[in-house]
Amino acid sequence: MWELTLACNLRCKHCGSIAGSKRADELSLDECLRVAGELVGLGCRRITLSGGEPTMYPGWHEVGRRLVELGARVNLISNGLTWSAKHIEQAQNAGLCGVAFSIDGFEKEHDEFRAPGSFVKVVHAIDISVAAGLPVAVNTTINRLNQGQLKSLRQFLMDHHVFAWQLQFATATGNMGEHKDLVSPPEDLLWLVPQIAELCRINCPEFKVYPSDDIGYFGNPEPDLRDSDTALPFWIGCRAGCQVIGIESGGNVKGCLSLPSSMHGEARFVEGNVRQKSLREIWNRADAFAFNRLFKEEQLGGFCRVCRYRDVCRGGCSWATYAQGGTGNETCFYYQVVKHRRFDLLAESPTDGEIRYFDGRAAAAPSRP
Amino acid sequence: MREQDIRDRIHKFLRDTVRQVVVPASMGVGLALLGGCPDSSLDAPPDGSAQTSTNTSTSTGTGGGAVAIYSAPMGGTLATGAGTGGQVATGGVTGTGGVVETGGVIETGGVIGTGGVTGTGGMVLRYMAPMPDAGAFNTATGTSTETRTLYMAPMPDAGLVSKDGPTKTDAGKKDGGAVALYSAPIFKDAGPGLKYMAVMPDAELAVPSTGGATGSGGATGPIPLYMAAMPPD
Repeated sequence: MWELTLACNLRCKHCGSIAGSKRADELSLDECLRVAGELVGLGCRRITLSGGEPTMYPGWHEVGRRLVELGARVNLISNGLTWSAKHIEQAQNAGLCGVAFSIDGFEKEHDEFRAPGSFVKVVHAIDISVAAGLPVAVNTTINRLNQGQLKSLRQFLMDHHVFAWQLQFATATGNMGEHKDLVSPPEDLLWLVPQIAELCRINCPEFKVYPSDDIGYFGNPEPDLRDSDTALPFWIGCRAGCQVIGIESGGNVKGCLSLPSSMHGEARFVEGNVRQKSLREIWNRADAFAFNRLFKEEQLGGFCRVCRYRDVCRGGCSWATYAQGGTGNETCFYYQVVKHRRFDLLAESPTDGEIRYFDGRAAAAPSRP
Repeated sequence: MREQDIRDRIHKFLRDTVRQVVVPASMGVGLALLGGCPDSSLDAPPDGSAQTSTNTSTSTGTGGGAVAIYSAPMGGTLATGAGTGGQVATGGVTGTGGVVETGGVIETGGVIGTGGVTGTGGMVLRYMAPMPDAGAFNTATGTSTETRTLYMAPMPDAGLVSKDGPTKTDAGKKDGGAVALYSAPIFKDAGPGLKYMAVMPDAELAVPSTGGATGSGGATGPIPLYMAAMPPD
């Protein structure tokens, strides 16, 4: 994931990056083109250009073109607010494999999170892109307002010939820290995760749902959430700094772009800056990405510490864990199942240690809205 | 899916398909860096298929047959005795047919490592080398003509360490020792998680000036491997 600029023409309530103004020290186009070479030279094959709103970076398509020329598959995430025929032409000329737009519900809910009128504009962006032959995917951040719309949203996106849909949970970081009441309640995972799994189960060649890495883990829905073509169709741990890398527009490198950094007053996940060192040096540094590469179970806290899957799962999404204080992950399906004693959602009973963890803490299982 | 099913799959995966051997040293299985990851990963294909080496070099030195590799322990307690669980590599190193046995998972005793390569940049900890004592590899001529067992040593000490730096300990999971395997790049251009192990092409047979692995075409000693860039999808 490569954040070309933090500049954005929206101020979304759930923006984890707190995007808006560009960073003071963003990489120049020449620097980006150099980094593009380093990135592909490092072995990276799939690159997503992101922001902010990446089209506000003047040379976004030139960066994309360079990456494509070097052999990478490149796509772009946009909010679609100003997306036009010119952008489509630039994307196609650059050889991008597609564009992903953000839709966070139907018009009322989407506009509530983003801006009035933004839903109409992003749907227009989808339609003109599809009409021009540019493959379109959609990202949706699930929150309290739109969580009941997933099935109907799926049909809507299929009707608009979107080919892929990535789902992720809103997390109370960044701007969403000011809107915690809009984060889906953790106990709602008891029905949300099975519903997402159901959406994945009915995938078809024309339309596929991709749960992001903060959705899971384990329990009956797990196989459906993962790619069945893999040898290990279940969650096998956060990939930040292992198979995934994030580059901020100022050149800072993190294991995952979602991980907090200077905008959050946080520096521990920044592994280096491409202005000071090559990407290769940063990636190959012996103690780089230690939070994940050198992960130890002792890092886990809360329920994760006693969870039977702790060595495989490693606490789930690092960002989600960070957002909850850094030691445990309540936005885990298995956690909620054990907590609420919904053992019907599991293939086997929890361990004694897991059950004991919630002794005196268990709450009644919430009903589905 | 039951926990045991998950662990069985992991075990089978490690036995059958591990080719990319750079894994976090201290995690139970180190799967996040292996080929079983989703195809949205930075590079690894979902089924590990692209990790098959396209290097058709007949391995080491003067060539001739597949050469077994092992991952030299980086210190600590060395296993003794010949490995017994290794499967046979029939195609290039970590190439088709080449299966890396996971010493930490399987019961092999392993082979004593002959010294990891010492890097110059504080990066190198391990190297993949032809197994020195399995007989088929002629260290005098650098020739190998037989298929050899691949063996990945269990990691006695976990964690990437810097040259001269402390070796991190690993709590391990069950047997008091780490089970994760790992192999660090031997050259500065190697990228964990992005590379696969391949025989070093002749053009790049410059080896670290210190440490165990030497050898270039016909030279003495085990032939170092390096972490090559993944072939395109």
